[in-house]
Amino acid sequence: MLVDILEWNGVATWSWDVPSEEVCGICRVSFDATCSNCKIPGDQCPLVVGECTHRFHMHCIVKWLEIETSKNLCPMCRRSFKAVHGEKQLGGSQVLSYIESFNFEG
Amino acid sequence: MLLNKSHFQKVFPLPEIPTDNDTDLASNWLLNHEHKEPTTRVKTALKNVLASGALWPIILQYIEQMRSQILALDFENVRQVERTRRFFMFPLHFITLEDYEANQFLRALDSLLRFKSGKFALDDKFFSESIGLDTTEYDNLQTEKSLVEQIKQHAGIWNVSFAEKYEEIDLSQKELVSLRINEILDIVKSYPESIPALNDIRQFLDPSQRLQLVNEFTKNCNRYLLHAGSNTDDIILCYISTIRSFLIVDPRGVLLDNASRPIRRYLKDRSDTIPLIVDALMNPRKENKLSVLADELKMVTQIPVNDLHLRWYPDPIDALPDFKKQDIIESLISIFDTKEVFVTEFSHVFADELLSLKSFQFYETSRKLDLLKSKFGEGEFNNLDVMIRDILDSKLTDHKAHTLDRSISRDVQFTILSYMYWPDLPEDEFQVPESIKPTLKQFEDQFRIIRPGRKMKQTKLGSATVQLQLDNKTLKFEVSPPEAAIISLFHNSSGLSLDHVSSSLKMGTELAEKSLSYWVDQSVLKFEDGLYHVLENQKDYPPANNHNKVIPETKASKSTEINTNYWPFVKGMLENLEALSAERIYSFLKLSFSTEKTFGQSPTDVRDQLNTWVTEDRLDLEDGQYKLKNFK
Repeated sequence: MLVDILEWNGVATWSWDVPSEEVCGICRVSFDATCSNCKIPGDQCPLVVGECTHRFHMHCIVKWLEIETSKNLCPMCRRSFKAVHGEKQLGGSQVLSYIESFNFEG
Repeated sequence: MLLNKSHFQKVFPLPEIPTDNDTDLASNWLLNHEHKEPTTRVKTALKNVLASGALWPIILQYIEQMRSQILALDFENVRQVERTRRFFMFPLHFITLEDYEANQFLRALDSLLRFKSGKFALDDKFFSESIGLDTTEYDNLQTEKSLVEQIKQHAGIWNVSFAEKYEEIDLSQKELVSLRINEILDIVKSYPESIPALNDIRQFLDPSQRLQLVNEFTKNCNRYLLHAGSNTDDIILCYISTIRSFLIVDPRGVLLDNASRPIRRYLKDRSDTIPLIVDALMNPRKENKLSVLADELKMVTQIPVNDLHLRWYPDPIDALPDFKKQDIIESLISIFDTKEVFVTEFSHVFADELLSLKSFQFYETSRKLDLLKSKFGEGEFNNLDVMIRDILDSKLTDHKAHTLDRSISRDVQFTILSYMYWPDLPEDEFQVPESIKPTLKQFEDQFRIIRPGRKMKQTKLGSATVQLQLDNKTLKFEVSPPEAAIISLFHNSSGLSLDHVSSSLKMGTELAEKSLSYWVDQSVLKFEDGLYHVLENQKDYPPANNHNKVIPETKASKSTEINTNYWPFVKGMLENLEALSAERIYSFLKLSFSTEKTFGQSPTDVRDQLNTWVTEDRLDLEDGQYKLKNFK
């Protein structure tokens, strides 16, 4: 018998390329869902990974960094929070320049 | 106190009657006439007495006697009254009285008769009039009688307004409403034909009958509608009619609120209520009994839920504390304590619908979602928003991927879901067929570029069109991806074992076996000596039936899951606690399994399974409590 596949309508799921059990260190929600303010997951609620390798929902870390007392430190390890560029960058790129702005001020 | 002669004599002293022969004769006859004509002698005496002017005192005596006699009588019917009147009138044929005297006599007689005959003189209008009774009352009674007759004849006729037909209806409103109250359940059921009858009820319902109306309705509902023999869709239909009907009778909705409570309570306990409502809302088909719901959904609702408190006005006085007035769909929704149950059901239906789409045509579904939001409130459907958004994103991704890498075949498409927002996504894994692998790889590479930082994972959902070239025939099938992957293994080969199939596709044996048996059912494969062989010669191939869609996750497969996985838990539970209701068992199971993975069973699934175990003699069911068989 010869088998020909003429059409393929696959259904797949997506997830952020992070260890599956990891959740946002701030809101404790899976990265594949949204931060507490967003409705739609994915590009609208992207992730940010710091040089310290800690990951957060972008909105969560931005909110954190906006607080005076955060002193631009990573809430997990208390090192200065710097977003990683390039290969490991997650989500939209304009986000990172926004995060950068905090680092310059600090 | 009965008035006797002495009382009257105190007020009206009787004149003295002169005593002579003529007067004696005359008074003797008059007071004892016994309806006999006077003798010639008496007639002469009467004439003489009349001439002497002494007759009137005798008449007064007569009247006095008549009074005491009539007052002592007890009339049983109007004939007796008439006879009595004739009797006392009799002497007047032989006496010539002045007009005023005659009138005074008649007034006295008639007033006595009226006094004694009040209760039945109305039977005879003419006679009643003759003794001076007010006959308006009588006329009304007659009209009322004929109206009541008419009303009786209108039993079961609800499509004409009785009030418009008969103007005098004011007289027998209560009668009409009583009839309608007795018929209320049937009137409600035949809405909208019965609108005229309902309008009549609204117009004439006496405040004292409001409670009666509600009680009669709920009584009949409990007796004739709310029992195991009724179909849920009929009950929902009746509920819809109840809402509409009672809003006609009482536009403020208080009666409705009271009347609909038993139906609401009952519908709440029926397990298929929500699926039926959701199905009716989502799939408006003419043959669906509940298609009115879909029409209802299309109607624009003016008042968004959140604005209600701005137009607050006090509830009517007989409203219950949690009185609500709603439109049909909102009212159906409010039967249940949370909207969550609906949203869950909707997400299942939406998921099925969205995943069966070809080439991402989701606009129809999206429009339905907007309509639903208008009834359920904006906030409830976040999951569904994400689901629709996923389809839109998939469409964009698909377009971009094919544009960026033109070598990706147009025949390969992927829908990419946010897995946390879709209900019941299967977790089975498998490898796509070899022929698809390169394309999938290309697509995944593009996906990483289009959606940086994310990865894709295949599920067994979706569909594939496969073409099989056999010795003497070419067949085309639309199947699920695992089925397509399995049949692809038989490309130029035959005689494969289940183990081989499941290991080379990295597919669970259960899924592999199910998919293989699909091909056996289609007579493409046959199972012999533990191996699956291709049936190259398709002589006995059954006709038609080759356009199979994606096989939905069937109840049967779900319940085997409960059967194998959860039986030990249920058994342990019952060993410890002896007897439990299906709800308790469900919540225990939910607790035990929620940590490992989402417990994908509905209470109905669990109940079904429990009942299966009852038929398998593993459990006993007593008063809704499940027990282990032979457990003492």
